[in-house]
Amino acid sequence: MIKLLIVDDSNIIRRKIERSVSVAGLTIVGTAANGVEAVKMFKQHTPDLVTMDLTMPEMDGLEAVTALLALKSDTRILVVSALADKTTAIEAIRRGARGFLCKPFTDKELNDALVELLEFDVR
Amino acid sequence: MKTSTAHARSGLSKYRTIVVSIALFIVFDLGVLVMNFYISSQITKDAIGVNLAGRQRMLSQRTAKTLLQLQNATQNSGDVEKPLEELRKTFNLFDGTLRSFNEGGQAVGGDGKPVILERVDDPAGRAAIEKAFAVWTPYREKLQPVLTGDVPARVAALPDVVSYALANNVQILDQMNFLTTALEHMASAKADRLRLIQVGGITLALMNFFVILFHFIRQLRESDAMAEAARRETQDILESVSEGLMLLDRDLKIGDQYSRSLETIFNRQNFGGCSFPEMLREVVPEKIYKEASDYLDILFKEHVNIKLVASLNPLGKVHAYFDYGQQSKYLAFQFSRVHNKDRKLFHLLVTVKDITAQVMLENELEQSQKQAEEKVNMMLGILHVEPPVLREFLDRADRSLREVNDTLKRYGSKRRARDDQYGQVLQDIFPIVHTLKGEAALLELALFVDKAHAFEDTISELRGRANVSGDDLLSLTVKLDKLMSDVQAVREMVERITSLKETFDPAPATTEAASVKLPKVASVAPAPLLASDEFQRLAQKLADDQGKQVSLAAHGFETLALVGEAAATLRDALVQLVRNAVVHGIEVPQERTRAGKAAAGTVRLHAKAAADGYEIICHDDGRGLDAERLRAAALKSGRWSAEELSGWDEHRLRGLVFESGLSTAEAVTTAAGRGVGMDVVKRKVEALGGHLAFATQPGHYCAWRITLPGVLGLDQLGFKAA
Repeated sequence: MIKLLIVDDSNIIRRKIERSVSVAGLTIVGTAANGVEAVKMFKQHTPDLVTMDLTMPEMDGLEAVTALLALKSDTRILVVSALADKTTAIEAIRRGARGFLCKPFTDKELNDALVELLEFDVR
Repeated sequence: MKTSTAHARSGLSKYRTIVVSIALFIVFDLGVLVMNFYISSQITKDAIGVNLAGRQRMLSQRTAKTLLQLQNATQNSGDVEKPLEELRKTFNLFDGTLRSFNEGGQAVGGDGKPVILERVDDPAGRAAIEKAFAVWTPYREKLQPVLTGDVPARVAALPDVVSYALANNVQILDQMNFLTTALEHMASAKADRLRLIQVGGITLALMNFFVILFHFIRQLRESDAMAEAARRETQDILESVSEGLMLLDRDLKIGDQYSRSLETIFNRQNFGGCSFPEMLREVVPEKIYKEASDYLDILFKEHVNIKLVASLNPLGKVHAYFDYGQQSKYLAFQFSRVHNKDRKLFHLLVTVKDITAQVMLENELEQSQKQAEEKVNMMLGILHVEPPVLREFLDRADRSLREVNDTLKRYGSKRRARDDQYGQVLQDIFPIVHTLKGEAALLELALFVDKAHAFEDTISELRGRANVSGDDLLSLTVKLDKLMSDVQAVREMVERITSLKETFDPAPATTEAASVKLPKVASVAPAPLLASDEFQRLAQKLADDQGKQVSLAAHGFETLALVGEAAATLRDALVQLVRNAVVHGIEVPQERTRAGKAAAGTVRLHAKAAADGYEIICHDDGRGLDAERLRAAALKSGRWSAEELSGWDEHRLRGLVFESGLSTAEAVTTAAGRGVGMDVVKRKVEALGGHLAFATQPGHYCAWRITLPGVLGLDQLGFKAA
């Protein structure tokens, strides 16, 4: 079982991701509305996969990426953000996030991104 | 691909040649060595043979000599033991050695140690041995009794042996001589052969060397030629490819090999060794440069999927500036990772394309698409308005815009107009544009509302400036031009729609034709202008925009017999009043509920004929005119000081609604906020000889009353045009 944590400050996006995820073996273990909550949920569930919004209150996505990777360095983080956030997305990738999904996205795009994240092996 | 297999093949054959030539070298050398070893050991053996053969000569003579000594001693009764002993030794040595020469075997060497002799096969040697044996065998027989027998036997045998020895001694010596010579010949023949073999081996080795040398030189030339051809091919590609190509190392330095197009694209030369980010920095904005630097960083992070990397490329389409901003181009960069044989990332291949033409084309397409869309929107935007109404609007818009134009021209032509004069221009044209916007909003002509609003924006912005110059007015002229051409475009469209209608539906054409004969007022009879449903729509739209609920009721307008300027003025005034009522008066539903009112506000428009003319009332049940809000707005305008305002009573503060440029709205929207309105309405109503007044109770209502004189001059009624 692969555990997925959804982090997004938007209720709508969180629900959309929850509804749309249909990858075999993937189970959603929790959702968080900001970085602080994300870290709490992460410690509780140690997910393998995290979808991460970038602009959030309390602790933003970039800090959260750093914090989660400090907890478990092989966590695969998918940055889910608007295209306008490209600079921030690049920064997130520099910090160790593995993928980038542009808002708005279709169900297929989301699932493809998750599958790719799972399949892409790190050399 | 082709070259690489060719390379592999040449490499393999190169190795094969080396292997073969080394093998040959070893074989030759080993052969020479083995032969050398074998023959030299033979020569050593031969030397022993020669030596022993020489000793045989000496032994044959000693045998004879000791025999004579023995005979002498026997005759003279001397010591016989010593010569006898010597004879025995000599005999055994000679006999053993001869046998060994004959059959091969062990013999006693010159130093007394045993040596192995090979059977002599040389014909000359063989003959000498056989001849020696022929003499030696009887000699041997005769010697036996001397060596082994008792004294009498020895004495008896001695004379015969001595005489045989004397007779044949020379013979044996000769044969041993022949043997020696024969063995010497053999040895020297072998030495000759050895030399021959050595010379042959060296010759072969030399030949091998030359073959290899020749071969290698040829191969070197071939691979040089191949490398040169490959280099030239690469060069040709780099010279002719239209994209800019370059390789970056880990330090992001540009490699020495890059395509010629790169120079054309970047308007410079000598890229080799330059830093790519620095080069980028010179031509793109700082923000893009920073983004690109971060991006290049993740390009070298191999764990990041290349597909992901490609999707984040910030340089996919960048606007680059050259020659200090003199020239600009759109460039598209692409990055690929180049791995070496160990699958280690060691280069980035950068492809740069000049996509200016493409982008221009795209923009053009977009532009024309937008224009087409605008036309369609324009068309859709006017379809809901009756053509006669629209025409009237257009006429008025035309007039208003021309007025604005004239005003601008008037001041623009004064080369040295004073700054405050420009301020006056702005103040003059602003109400005109504002009114136009109001009318457009009433007819729901969104296109004109937006354009007029944008125009207002520009004017407001200029009014806010400390000093306005003639050049600033230029931007207004441009906007005005656009508005005028829009009016023209809509007019054309209206004509087309009308003619289309006439084609399909000839009945209205007669009305249209009839109207031509009538005075203009008839054709533009503005009854619909005052129709309550239009005001309802306006109120509804304003309320929706503000998140408010409102219902508008109008009655009594059918009794009004106003046309032309008067109708237009009244219309403007009513638009402004309704707008004011919804935007400023009516509160949002929550606020109304809190105040104990119905969530939906009410606006009532009422027209009636009065004794001395007409009376039109606009009443809303909103928050009324709040003196304090007006005071705050007045303070914000900066026209009065706090001290000045503090001395004003409520009545005077309420009077501020007629001041130009004062607004209590928090933000400027198309609906309100510029603080233009009531002053204009007041001026216009008064121009018609009318009067504008209001009554209010804060928190409950606000009502405006317009009174118009009953008998307006024919001019004002619009008959002048006829």
